[in-house]
Amino acid sequence: MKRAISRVSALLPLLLLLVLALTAMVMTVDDPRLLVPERAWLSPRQGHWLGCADGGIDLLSAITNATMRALFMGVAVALMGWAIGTPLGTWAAYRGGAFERLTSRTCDLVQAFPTFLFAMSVLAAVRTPTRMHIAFVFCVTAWVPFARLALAEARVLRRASYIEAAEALGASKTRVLFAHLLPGVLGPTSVQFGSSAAAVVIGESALAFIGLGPRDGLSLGSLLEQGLFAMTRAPHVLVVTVLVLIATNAALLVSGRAFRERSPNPAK
Amino acid sequence: MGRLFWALAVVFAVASASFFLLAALPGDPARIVAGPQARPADLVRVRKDLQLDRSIVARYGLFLKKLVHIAGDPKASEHASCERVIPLVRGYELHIDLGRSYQHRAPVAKVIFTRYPRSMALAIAGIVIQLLIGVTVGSIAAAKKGTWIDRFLTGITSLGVSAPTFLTAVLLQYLFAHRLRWLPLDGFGDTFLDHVRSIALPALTLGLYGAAYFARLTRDELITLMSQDFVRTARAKGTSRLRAFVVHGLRGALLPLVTAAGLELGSLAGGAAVTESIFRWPGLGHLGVEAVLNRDGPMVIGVVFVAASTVVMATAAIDIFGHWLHPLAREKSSE
Repeated sequence: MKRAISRVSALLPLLLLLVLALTAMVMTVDDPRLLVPERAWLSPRQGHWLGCADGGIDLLSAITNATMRALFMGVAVALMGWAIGTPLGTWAAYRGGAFERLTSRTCDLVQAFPTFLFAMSVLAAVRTPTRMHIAFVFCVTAWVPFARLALAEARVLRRASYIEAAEALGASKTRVLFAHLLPGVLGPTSVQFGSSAAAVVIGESALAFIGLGPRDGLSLGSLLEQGLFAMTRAPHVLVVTVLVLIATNAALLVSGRAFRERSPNPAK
Repeated sequence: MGRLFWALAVVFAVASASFFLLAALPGDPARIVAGPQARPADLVRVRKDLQLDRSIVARYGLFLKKLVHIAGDPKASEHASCERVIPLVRGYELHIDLGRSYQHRAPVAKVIFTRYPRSMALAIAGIVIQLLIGVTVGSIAAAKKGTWIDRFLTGITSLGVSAPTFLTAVLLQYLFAHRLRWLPLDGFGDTFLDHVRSIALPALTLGLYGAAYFARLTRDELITLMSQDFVRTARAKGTSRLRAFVVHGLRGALLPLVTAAGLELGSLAGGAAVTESIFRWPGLGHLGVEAVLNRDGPMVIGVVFVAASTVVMATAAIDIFGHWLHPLAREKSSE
């Protein structure tokens, strides 16, 4: 019971953030892309609770939209990485031999590749990068940590007595893999979820920060860049964006703990 | 030995992958070199110079052949874009050739080899700060395990992970360079003292970011180690708490710390792209970002290749020397 509570409480910051962002999105009627030059860099006041940013966009509306989009992309990419990496790693560990080595070395290869430069060169080559392009670039590398964890976990599990029993009873390799091995690996690898999603949020805002973000400008990175630009004129933009960025990232990192198990490892 | 072979195989794969990735991306290198207003005849000539008129397979073969080769006559014109690595016997030399940069109008290998030590210096400075903060905070947290001090320190460090480097970087710039004017805003400087002053802020940025990881690692390792029998025996025989902590605890935590630090060093030396760019630190990461933005193809391939090789070599070195560092490693890894 206590464990269940601590698990749910790990998700609380993320839920709180979502509720706050959704409430703000419903409450503010402003289009986050609406430019009203005469109210540029307005300080917080009634009607614009967080003030306005460059070109007079409503900061509350812009930042909630940016956060929701970043969260969605982070979770989607992490899910994708999990769905590809975990079965691949498990399969490789179960098959063993050359295939296992190949998978493990491919992980090395992708991890050795400087991800940020890779993302930059792809986005610089595409004339107008969209969120799909950015998400795709992150997906190319997102599966690796999951595959690594799955490999390590499945290497231990494949020697477990229940796997041996299933094989002795005549279960096919496919059945052992999907019905017995994979369910045991899915849990432990999901620990990686939070930090993967957080890495995507940070990566996306870093790209937007140097000007390779989505064209609509609804990214925490572009807002941060605006905030720095107008640091002395309108410090509220910088302060709000910094706080939201840190909060989003921390909420995602903490949420990973919800999946942490006490590791009931049958092989030991 | 097998580990070394695999490392070389991965380096080869990285070189091939970066070559084909760049070839697959849209954009005409000849137009970049010749300029947007070049005449069609000039374009054809540049294309021929860069051997773009040949098939991609032929260019790939040429790229690999030139990448690492042995030169008999180093003065020959075909070795103009080479960087000499090791002189061999009787005038033969081992060369690395990554082509010529469109932007710098110089051999890629030469530019990279001047930038590389600077990235390495920044990486080492960053790691030292990470370790200093991380091990100190982790040790205190482990010593005060379960108290509010532990929770406070753990909380602070996880805040450190949540702040991305580009955020820490600009806040440090604002505080130390803009407000207090203690340190230069960015750049590299001319004298050695200038270099040291310039490296402080980027190193601190990297240090604050990575410190949290080392703090958690130290704390968890120490807590596990301190509850083990050999530490309890030492304590029972009258060793002071501090001595038990430093001699038995921290020494045992050395291997995981060095392993993590080595991996981190590899990835930082390969270019902390964002941090280097913000502080205009003329290292590999900054070079790579510039090359991408200027669509300087050979330079991008070169930076990616050198950065990835550094990571691979660091990983291999740790695998090989890790055991040598700690005789208990073999037992530990089988746990």
